[in-house]
Amino acid sequence: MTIQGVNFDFGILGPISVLVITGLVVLLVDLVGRAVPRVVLYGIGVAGCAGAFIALAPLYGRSATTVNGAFATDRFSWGFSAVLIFTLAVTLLLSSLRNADDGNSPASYAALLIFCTIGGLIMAGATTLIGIFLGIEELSLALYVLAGTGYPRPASEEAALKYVLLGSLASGFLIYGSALLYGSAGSVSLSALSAAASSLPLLFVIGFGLLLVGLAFKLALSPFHLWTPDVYEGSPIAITAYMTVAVKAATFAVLARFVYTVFGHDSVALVPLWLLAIFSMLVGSFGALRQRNLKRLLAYSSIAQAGFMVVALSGVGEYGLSSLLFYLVAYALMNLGAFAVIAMLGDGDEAYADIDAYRALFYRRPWVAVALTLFLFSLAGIPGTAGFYGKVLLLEQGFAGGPWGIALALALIAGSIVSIYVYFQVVWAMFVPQEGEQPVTAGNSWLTWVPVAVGVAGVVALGVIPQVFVSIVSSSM
Amino acid sequence: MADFFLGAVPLILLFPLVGAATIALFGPYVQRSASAFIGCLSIGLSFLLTVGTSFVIFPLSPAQQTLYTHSKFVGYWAHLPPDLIIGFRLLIDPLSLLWMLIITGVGLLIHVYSVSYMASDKNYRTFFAYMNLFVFTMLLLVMADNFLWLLVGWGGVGLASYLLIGFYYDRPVAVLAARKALIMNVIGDVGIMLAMFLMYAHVGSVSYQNVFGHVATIGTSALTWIGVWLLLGAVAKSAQLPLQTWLPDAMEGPTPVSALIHAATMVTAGVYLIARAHPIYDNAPAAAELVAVVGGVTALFAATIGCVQYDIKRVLAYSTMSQIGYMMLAVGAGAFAAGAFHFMTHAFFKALLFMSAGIVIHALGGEQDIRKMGGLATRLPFAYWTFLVGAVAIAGIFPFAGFFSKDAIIDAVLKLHHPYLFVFTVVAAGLTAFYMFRLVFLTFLTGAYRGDHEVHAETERTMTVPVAILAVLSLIGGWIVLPHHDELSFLLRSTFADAPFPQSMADFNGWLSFGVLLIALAGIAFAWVAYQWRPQIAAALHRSLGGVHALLTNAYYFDTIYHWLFEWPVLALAQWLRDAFEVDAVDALPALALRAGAYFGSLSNRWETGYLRRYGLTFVVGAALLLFIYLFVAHGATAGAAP
Amino acid sequence: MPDPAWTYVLIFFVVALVVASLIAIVPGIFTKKRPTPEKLEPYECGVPPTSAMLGRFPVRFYLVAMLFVVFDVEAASFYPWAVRLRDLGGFGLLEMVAFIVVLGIGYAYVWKKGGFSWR
Repeated sequence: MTIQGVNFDFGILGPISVLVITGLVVLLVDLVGRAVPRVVLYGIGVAGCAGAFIALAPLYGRSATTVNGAFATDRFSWGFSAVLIFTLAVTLLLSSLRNADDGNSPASYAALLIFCTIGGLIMAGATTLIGIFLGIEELSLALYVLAGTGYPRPASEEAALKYVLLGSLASGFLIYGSALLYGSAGSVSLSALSAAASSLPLLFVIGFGLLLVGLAFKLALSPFHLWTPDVYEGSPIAITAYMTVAVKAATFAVLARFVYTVFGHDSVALVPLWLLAIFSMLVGSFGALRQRNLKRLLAYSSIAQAGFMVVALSGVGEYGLSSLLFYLVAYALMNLGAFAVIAMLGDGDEAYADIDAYRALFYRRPWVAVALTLFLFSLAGIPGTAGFYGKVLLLEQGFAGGPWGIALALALIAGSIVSIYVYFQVVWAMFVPQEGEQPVTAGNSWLTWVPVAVGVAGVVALGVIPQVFVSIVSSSM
Repeated sequence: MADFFLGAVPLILLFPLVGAATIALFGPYVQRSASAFIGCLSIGLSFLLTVGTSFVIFPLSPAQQTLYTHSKFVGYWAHLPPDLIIGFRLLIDPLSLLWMLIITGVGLLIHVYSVSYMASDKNYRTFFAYMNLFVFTMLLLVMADNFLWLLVGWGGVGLASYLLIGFYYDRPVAVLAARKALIMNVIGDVGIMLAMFLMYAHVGSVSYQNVFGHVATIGTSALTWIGVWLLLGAVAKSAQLPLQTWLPDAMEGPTPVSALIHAATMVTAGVYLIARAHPIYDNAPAAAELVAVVGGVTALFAATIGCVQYDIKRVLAYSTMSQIGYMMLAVGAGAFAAGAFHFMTHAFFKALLFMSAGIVIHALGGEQDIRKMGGLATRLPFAYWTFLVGAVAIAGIFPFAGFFSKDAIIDAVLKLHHPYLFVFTVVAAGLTAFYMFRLVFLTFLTGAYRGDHEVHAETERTMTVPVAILAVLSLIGGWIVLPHHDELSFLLRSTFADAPFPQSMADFNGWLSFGVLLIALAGIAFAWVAYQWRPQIAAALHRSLGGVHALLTNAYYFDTIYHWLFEWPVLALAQWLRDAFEVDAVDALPALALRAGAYFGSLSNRWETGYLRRYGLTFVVGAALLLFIYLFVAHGATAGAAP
Repeated sequence: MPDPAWTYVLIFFVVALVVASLIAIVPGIFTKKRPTPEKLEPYECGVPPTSAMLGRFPVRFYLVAMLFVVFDVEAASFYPWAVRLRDLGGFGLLEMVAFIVVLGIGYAYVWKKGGFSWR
């Protein structure tokens, strides 16, 4: 419908609308009811995710815009939105483990997570600089608070403070860059920017550079990654899991949209992006080598993984976007799976953050150990898992992407080799028998088995019959 | 009905996989008998579906039976831009159906047999999981529509074989045998990979359709190399010269494993490969001749060794090797239908022989040495009579199955005008009859029982029924190719339509058959004379031909030769390298790499001080650097290009 | 190919870095240090600070500040909306109602959870 010169398509805005309503309902239920159990609140959230999926389903393969072209459903948004909603559902399930009296209000926690995801969905669909900035801010503001919800632990508060301060710095860069880009093109819409991208005026270059700094911060690309290990370690485990996947999914949607609609071909202006990616792969992989805390280890690993994903864009090839999305789905499955295992073992606590707690885990909890092994194999890129085929697709893009693409592919290989050692330390610890006293593992509810089981099934399926998923992903574009 | 069976084709492959997964995952939570039941049920369902599909496919006209008319396209497995496309399609044509029938049919019988044979084993569930896994991978091998998936199945059966040979993992010999089999098979896998690389280089695809459709454009020399590399794979899997030494050792596995994997199905994968790739061999005569020579020589070679072995399963193993040599000879000669025919009859009688031998071994508490048997005919009459049927069949006595299939092969070799190979096959036929009846006499007849184990009765129904069925099949299985009424090559006619060699086995050469029959009878007679009528003759022969005997007993010293040729130099080199290099250089390198990596890591970690001011500073300096790169490189480039 | 013009910027960058470092480092090497109490004072003229410069405020102030910002933004968006209400018509009204409802739920939630109580 068109009202006062603004056209609205509530089909395209469907997933966002569903989640907005879900968030408000969560708050209202907590407001009206007395001492509503958190399971009910999170259950509403998960139901909202299901609703958002139902709203998202008809948009599959569709390409259309609404709000006068400011918001779109297209090849950049669908898959990333699906990953975001999936991540939200998994995070809510994992959060159900958290200690009941940790001083947080479960309703505001769930609502913030939902609003956070709405920010991500806006990022995935926004086609203007303003829309992108709004999305990023909504995502970030909610996450700053969520990072601090591990309330009694000082590390959580420290994480929140660090995140908010550095995040504001990054936002400054983002908005300054956006302003300069607007100045160079005279419009905030990305399609208008592509004219400027072909001649690369100074204003555009500086503007894009500043914007890239902001996006690199969100993606934790090195050297803008320093906050990552501290924030990931300090945040509650479910939030860390959410951050590693959702922020990447949303930001990559923005980055891919930028690279494909603004540039559309390999541009010299993208060289700094390639450099950031190469640097990240090396810093992330090497940085993870000596970590003894699994959350910190996965934080460094996520720095490297963000670098890996950039390889998909190298050369701005025809299949780059589908390769990126495939890898992102694989990454979501394996990373959320790994975090789900950590959360499950510690019953939502931080007891299982240290690698030493995993010693001889196989002999205490064989199924859990096997599942975690599978996730770590996939992260390392062992054949037969989702991560392997994802990396094959990435390398394919890299080697087809000109000299920078080849450099990126080589960095990917180097990073992967180092990361095998990283992940196998944990696997090794789990399978070596150990005498003496063993850490206690939690009993844990069946709810957390859901993300683990979904992760295992997905990682195996994507690894064994990849083309099925590649074609699902490609057809969404 | 036809639509139902054609639609259900993926289930044939799926049932054994689901069975294996179910037993593996839930085995520990259910009763032992439940896992055995799941194992048998999954294979049984696959068998029923295969039979149904056969009734749909076989009556069709050749034009409707070609490689792709009824294949089930499941989906693309991989599509790596720009041009590597690998589909996953389940091939349903007469050749693959024949193999599927045997795999699931004989597989079912052997599964049922295993229910009691393995009953006392502590890893009962694991056994059925492995066996189902084997059936799945073997089906994958024959149902694959391109060389990549064939190789996946190929490697899969190698894995299943490795697991099952080493099933008694607490016996070092079994573990060593498993390792040996795996290594030998990997050599073959490499051969197939090289063939695939050549195909991809010349055709740009590894699917049967594309490769066979472009055979004419590949060029003879490349085609010959493809053929030779494929043969390497076949030789390793089918235990042909010179990669044959793993098969006798593989008898360390449980007897049902020997029957299913190392007699009836897996070891014939090489024959399947050559028959499947027949357009390549049709156009590369040199490669085809090499196949025939390898087969012929192995047939004779293994038969000679079989004459002196004392382990009942080892004799059967060498006999398997020899019979597969026949099949390879047939497919090398171009008589693909004859090779497939012998595969079928051999599956019946060799599985029968192994399972009868299994009853004996079971009854004797694991004894396999025929010097400690004897006179068992009265104590184990069922085993005796079924074993006798198998022996008669393999010896090629009319009207048992072996007679027809072996006759078809010898007939084809005669038409090949290759005198040495012809002589080899005929001599091997005589030797086969001799060593099989030597086995019969030493095990079941010839005086009294020589062993010290108590002989248990042979009562389990699940063991006797499958053996009885196979005994019947060993008798009637050959009748599918009666003179002037050749059903089998008729059924396979679409697959081998373009093969230059006549496939029909209907033109019966009466004199040749009679001659071969006489030679076989002579072999039996000699065995009777030497081991039953006048045992001192055998002893005298043994004394006077001591050197030959030792040569044969040690299988022509192949293991020793390989040991000194490959194993010893490598081990010696490895030892020398260890002493000379490893400690100082090789060990140091990874340690150095690790330390370097850890150093880089610590650089990255040490920067991570935890102080926000450091983070902010890094952020700003990084941004400045990034902008500087932009100004210097990105903008400079365009400014320089368009001043 | 780098543009030569930017080479000057690089040179400027390096020179500035070197000169600044020299100015900071060289006096430290060559001067003799004779501190007196007057010299050590933060200001040579003016009043020395009597307490810590960074004052600490109760966290409630921040809470109030945040709430103020929320409603300030609301008021700020009301103003142009009110001016253009006739042009925006019914949809404009609905839009603002939706905005207020969202905000209102948040407001009610904060109220209920005791966000406004001073203690």
